[in-house]
Amino acid sequence: MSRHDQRVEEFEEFAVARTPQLHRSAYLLCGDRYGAEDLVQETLAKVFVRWHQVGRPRIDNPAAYAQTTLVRTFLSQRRRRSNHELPYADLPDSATVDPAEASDLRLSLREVLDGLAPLDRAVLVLRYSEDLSVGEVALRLGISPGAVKNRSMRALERARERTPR
Amino acid sequence: MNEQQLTALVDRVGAALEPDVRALVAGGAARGRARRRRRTVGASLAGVVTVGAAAVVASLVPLGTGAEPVVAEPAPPTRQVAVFPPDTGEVLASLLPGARVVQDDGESYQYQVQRGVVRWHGSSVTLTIDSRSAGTTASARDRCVAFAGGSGCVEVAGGAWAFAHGTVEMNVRTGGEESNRDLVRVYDPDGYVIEAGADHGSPVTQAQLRALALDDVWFD
Repeated sequence: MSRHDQRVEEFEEFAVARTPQLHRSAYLLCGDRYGAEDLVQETLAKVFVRWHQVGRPRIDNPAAYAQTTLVRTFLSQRRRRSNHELPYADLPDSATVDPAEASDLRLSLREVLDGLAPLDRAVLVLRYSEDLSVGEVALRLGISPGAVKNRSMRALERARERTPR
Repeated sequence: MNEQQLTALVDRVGAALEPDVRALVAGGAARGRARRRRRTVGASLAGVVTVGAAAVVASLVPLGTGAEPVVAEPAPPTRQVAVFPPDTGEVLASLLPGARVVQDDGESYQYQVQRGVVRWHGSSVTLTIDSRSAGTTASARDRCVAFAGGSGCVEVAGGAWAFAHGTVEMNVRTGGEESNRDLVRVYDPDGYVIEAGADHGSPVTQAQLRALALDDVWFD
């Protein structure tokens, strides 16, 4: 097997293993299935290019690299569309979840995420879906740890106001 | 809702998703291959353009017009930064054989500004990419002139404008100012500002700083 073939195979192994988590984060960020699928493919394309670049050091932590790529691509797309706040679309029905429960989940998630600014949503996804520390989120997003804490608190506060007690 | 409840909600939503993983991976790889082909073609064309542009650049006269602050509404930039903040130093080092990445403790985090620092031939070399104005409709020339204060900007390859400048520090003994950093700042047509710098008096030339700032490794 050539070095190129080996890298292709390694990339596919990595991508297949990592895509479910990327898709989950993408769905939480975008709020709809089609946007999430587009975001995941765009992310994988960027990682693919970096993965195959000759003369560049190998990616030290591909999972973290892909996750950062995903979030930054999302933020970049939103910036280009000049969207400051995002509506939240429907959660798709799934065979693994009861339709009534899916409906409740959809409403709960809408209440939490609806109207959040893209960066606030990214902070929430990295903190509560990826389970990253404040410092790691700060590093990934290029903002200060204090800003991460403030945005998390603000988003949670907003969720609290919107969620029925 | 508290943090635990939010985590639980996110987990349940995640469990309800069933993406077609194989299709997504195939789609991502196909887009990646297309990007690589475009990049290869683009690099070939850029080589041809650079050779032609070198003669033009040599005859350019620095601008001498008045400078006003430039404000414009953002529009979609056609290029995206290809290097992620934590990788900036590593990529910079890959452009300077023998360079060593060093910890950047000179500046705190700033959203949409990324910086890499390396040590090369005894000098600290830095590269900063500022994306805060990405997509601005103000021309690269106007933005450069506004920063330079009226003169010193020259057009370089790809419609970008460059300005060579530096920073000074006060000599405690003499009370006079002494240059300490040489910098080349490039304003690109997509609104990005790329600045390369090195210690004043180091072996790093202005041409090298300009080449670092203009290297196409920084963008998709």
